[in-house]
Amino acid sequence: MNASSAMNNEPLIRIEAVERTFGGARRFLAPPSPLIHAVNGVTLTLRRGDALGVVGESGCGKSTLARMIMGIIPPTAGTIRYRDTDISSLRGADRRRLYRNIQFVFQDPQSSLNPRKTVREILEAPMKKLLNLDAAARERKARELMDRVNLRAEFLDRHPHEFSGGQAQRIGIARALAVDPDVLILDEPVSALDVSIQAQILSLLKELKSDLDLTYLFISHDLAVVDYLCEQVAVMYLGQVVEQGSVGEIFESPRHPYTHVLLRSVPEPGSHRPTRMELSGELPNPAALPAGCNFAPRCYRATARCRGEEPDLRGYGDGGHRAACHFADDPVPPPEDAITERNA
Amino acid sequence: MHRYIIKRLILMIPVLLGISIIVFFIMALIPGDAAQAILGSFATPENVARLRAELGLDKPLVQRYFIWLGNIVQGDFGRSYSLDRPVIDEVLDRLGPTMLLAGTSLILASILGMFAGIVAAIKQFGWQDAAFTFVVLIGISTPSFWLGLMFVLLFSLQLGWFPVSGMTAVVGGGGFLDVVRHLVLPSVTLAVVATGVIARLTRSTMLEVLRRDFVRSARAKGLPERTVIMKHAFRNALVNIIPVLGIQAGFVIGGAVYIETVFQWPGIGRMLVNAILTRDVLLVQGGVVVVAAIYVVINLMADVLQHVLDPRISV
Amino acid sequence: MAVHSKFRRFFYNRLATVGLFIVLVVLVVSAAAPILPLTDPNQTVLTNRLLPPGSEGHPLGADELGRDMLSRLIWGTRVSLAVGLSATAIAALVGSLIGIFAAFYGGWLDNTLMRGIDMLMAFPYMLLALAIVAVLGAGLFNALVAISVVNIPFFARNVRGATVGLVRLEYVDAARLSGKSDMEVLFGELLPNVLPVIFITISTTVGWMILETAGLSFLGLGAQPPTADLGSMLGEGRKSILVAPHVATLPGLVILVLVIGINLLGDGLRDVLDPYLRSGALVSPRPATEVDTDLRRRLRSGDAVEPGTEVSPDGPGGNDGGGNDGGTVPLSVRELRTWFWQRSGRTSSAVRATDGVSFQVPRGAALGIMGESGSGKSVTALSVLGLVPTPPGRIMDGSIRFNGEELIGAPIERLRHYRGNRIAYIFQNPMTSLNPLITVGEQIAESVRHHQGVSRAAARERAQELMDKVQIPNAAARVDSYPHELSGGMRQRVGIAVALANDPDVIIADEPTTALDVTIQAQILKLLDDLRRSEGVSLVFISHDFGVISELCDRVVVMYAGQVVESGTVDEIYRHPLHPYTRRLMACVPRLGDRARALTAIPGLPPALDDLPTGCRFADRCDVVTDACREAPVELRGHGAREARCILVEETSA
Repeated sequence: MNASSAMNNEPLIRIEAVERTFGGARRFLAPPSPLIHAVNGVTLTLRRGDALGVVGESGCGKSTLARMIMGIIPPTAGTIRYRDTDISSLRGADRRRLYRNIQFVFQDPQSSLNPRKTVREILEAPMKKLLNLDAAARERKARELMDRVNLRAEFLDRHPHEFSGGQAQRIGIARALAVDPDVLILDEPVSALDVSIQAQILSLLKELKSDLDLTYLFISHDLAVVDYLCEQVAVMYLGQVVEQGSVGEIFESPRHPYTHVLLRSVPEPGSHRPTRMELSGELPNPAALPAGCNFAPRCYRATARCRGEEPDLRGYGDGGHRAACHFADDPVPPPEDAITERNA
Repeated sequence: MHRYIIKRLILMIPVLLGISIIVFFIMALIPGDAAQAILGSFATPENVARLRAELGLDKPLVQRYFIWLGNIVQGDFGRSYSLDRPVIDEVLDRLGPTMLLAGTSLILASILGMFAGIVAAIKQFGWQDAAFTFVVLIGISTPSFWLGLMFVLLFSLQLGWFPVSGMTAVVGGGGFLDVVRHLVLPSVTLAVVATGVIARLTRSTMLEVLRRDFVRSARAKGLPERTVIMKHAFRNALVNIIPVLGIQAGFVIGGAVYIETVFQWPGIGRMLVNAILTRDVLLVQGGVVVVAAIYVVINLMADVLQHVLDPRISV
Repeated sequence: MAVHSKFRRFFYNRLATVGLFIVLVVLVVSAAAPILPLTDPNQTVLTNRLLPPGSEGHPLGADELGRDMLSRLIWGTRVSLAVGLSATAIAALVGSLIGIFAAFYGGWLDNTLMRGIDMLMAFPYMLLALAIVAVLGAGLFNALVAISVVNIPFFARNVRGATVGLVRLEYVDAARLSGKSDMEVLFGELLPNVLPVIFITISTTVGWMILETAGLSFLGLGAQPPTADLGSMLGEGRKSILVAPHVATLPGLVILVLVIGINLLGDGLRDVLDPYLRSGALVSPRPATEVDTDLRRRLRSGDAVEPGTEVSPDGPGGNDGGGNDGGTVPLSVRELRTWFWQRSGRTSSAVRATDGVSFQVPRGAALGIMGESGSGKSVTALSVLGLVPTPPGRIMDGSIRFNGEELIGAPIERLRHYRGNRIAYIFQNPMTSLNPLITVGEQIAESVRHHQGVSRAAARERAQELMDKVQIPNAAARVDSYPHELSGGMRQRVGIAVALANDPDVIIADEPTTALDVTIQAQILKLLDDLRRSEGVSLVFISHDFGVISELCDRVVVMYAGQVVESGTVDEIYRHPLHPYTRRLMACVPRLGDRARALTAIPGLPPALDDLPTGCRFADRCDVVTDACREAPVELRGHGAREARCILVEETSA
């Protein structure tokens, strides 16, 4: 699989300097609503056959990024290209054509299925609207899809509320696959599921990817899940990518302090006592970002330089490893129990 | 807080303007001619034309609106032809009785409704809840004008406890107790419907709030049930109930139209019905604008009260 | 099938059936008016003036013009119904369209439409109707128009509100991604889901609209003679109220009965259509979980489960001496069965949320309870101090002892004495479990005041101390903050401070970090670990995440389908799980830095808790299942210092 992705690693989606702000509206007799940079200058490339994980905590902008790729919300600045088309400004029929190539799997499997429709109607809608298949072909394909996601074909006539979360998510995946897309954008597809069900979906996703030669953009807050499913990873913090590269390199030798902290925060089974360092303070108000490096107020290595000068995302080595930290040349893991200072 | 009130007061201006526009243009739509209506169908065309000019009816509509607006801002709503006195004088005379009636009813309905709603919610499935359901059903299904008649039949004509109609006794009336005696039947009648609505809302809001996590937290602290219900649950329910009280004020003021007719109460509602039947346009216009403006102020007070209760509502 | 069950639910509602009956009778009779043997309602016979009811040929008497009351009532009802229903239909159609378009397109369209609606609502309801009638002139049709117009805002607002909620749902995005156009999304996806809201709004307004049209007629602004509806009959009858009260009374009674019928029917429809009501959202939980009467009796007679008698006499829990051991085991739970009783129609069935759960919490220990959703872990935790909502929860069996005192069936005063005082809770979602309208300081202080009887000032000071202790920066200022002013992590620190308020012996934490980000979770776990050691408090920590439990706990209890399937130390269970479920659960969690490992998912789903198999509850998903597994209930048995609920353990382990 790695070999195949190396062979045809043409870029499928190119995200360039994309920004998205919310708020900032002027209000009557009140200060304007706070302007929030949900995504603040993100550049990423998704290559054919890759699975790119985008990780980060809530509010880092990862879901906004996914929704911009799907055109659910437009970017405020920057471009998003699929192959050679700029997709952020597509409308009507052009956008629908795009949806034959890129599809989306939602976080909450139940709310992404219309309770009034049968599974058949849900699966056949994209075939009818996007592929113009006739009834017989749609029926055949719907059955194939159900088989693909390990659901029985007689479920086609049921309504979403008759399914468990895991089954509903399989239907969500089947719908996304109905148009034979190249790329799947998956927004936290397993985070609403129980552990044992999550494993079923993850295995299915892994299998589908190699069987159907799919490319994934996988949004998650769960590093272990990304580690399992993805080859590439981008770590986001407050709307920016702070580190990216291959999963092996990022997770084994991270260069950005935030990545270090994130990795160290994942509770490990079988260990005892939380002796690991804790990250000081909390996410700063996204409407009042600090000067310099966004992470500086919480960082164990921050210096005056970090608080004044914003670090660029620079490359390290030739494996595509990039990090946005003034000290990325000399990564140092966080000291255990070191941080006592807190910001109010 | 002050800033919030000031902001809301300023925001009232476009609403009041909107009301004036709606009222003015609705009235301007009246088929036929106000001058003709005033003078009756036997008037000579010359007289009609003269009156039209006098009333400014020969000017363009928009211009007429601004003239009218300028006048009402100064309290000049024109002259009622059927009563032959300034509209504003008549409206102000009638305003007091209506506010007395509606205010009493609203207070009565709020207290009874919230109390019944709380009891029904905490005694859910008990006899209190069943009795509550029945009373609310009657409350929201009874035509208030009919209920008023039945009250008169029973309490005034049969039992003789309360006067049949009016606000004061014809002879020697006007004292406080006299007004209270006259007020009982109409205000209770008027309160019945509002009580039903408020009680129903209070019950369902309380039931919803009682299921929230923070009520469980309050119980997990071992707090007495009274504290859990009143301090934690009811206070949260109140945030949802208060705007509805504002809206209910509108229903009570509107319902006063029937009650004033049934009980011959000298309020604005009865004035409006008479004005409509006699096609006294200016009187209708004046009455509607003044009452609507008062209603806007009542809703403003409800908003401010809600703001005081709920720290989450931003300025 | 769904439709069928909706009908069933409707008919089980007796009042709604009564309403339906009334409405049907009124509809049939008024529709049949032309073919019924009635005298002409407008035929005046002056000799019959004000004939009382019961007169020959005129069972309900006659009015002041000698017209037959029965005939007039039926014909009048016909008019009232027709006008009321038409007004409803017009208001529903126009209002719903405004609401749905405003919500769907948003932006300036929404703004313009809704500001217009706000303007209409700025008038007291009746006043606007009067103004419209003033313009159009008195008359039945004009009254209809007026009533329709003033009701449009209700529909517009309700429908807009419902649609706004739906437009944000992911299936609307999904439909767009399926290539559907705006109109297809609007009418194909949204409208079917908005329809119930429209029907609900109709059911609440139709009775009201009939009353209002009758009201306008009563005032003489609606139906004009010779047309009569119930309102105008009432208005005319009022003149002769002294001599012939029936002329005014009867039309009013008909209106009352008709509107009662409509409202009952509407309530019934709402119960069926509103998913919110259906989910039992409008049931208030009692102050404490109900204890089954049979169990109460057994507890009184000393017949109930005694600690250590039923389960595994050789297991580690077996030698718990119950009450006398209170010194070392403050909290002991035995054979706990908390069931949820669900009603469908006239039958009720039990969801066995916990079904024989036993564990002990030694003094100063940290016990983890691990399980997936539906395993019964939270219900177990909430059962301890009777915080499981009743209805539908009921404790059916078992014993919960705190320092030797039985808590099941204990008077509410005893439970309240322990709640927040000796045993305290930390809940999952710090946003919803704090009261949004009360300052965080007061939410801590009220517990201190109640249990320690100290003054307001002292309690407030204590609250501030506690906030310092849970490392909330700048506690002195944050005491007066409201929950929404704090971040998620800070709110959970407040939740911990509430739990610590009265130096409890046991803290029960129900997934306290699940709603938090990993870095914040790490902070909270560290805090909890430090505090439990420094304060010497026993901790029961409930989580679905074995990693989190590993960090905090000494022992862990694994739950599946309402039962404990395994217990032991964290290390033992990690290295050598006994039960196949535990083993497979560990194998299906992805681990950081273990990329090569294949995930072996557990196939299938947990069993439905209201339809459990006789034998092992994991049998259908187990890879080593035998026939014997399905034959009889499997007991939790001790294996050295551990327990497991599997008949194969001897063979597979050791």
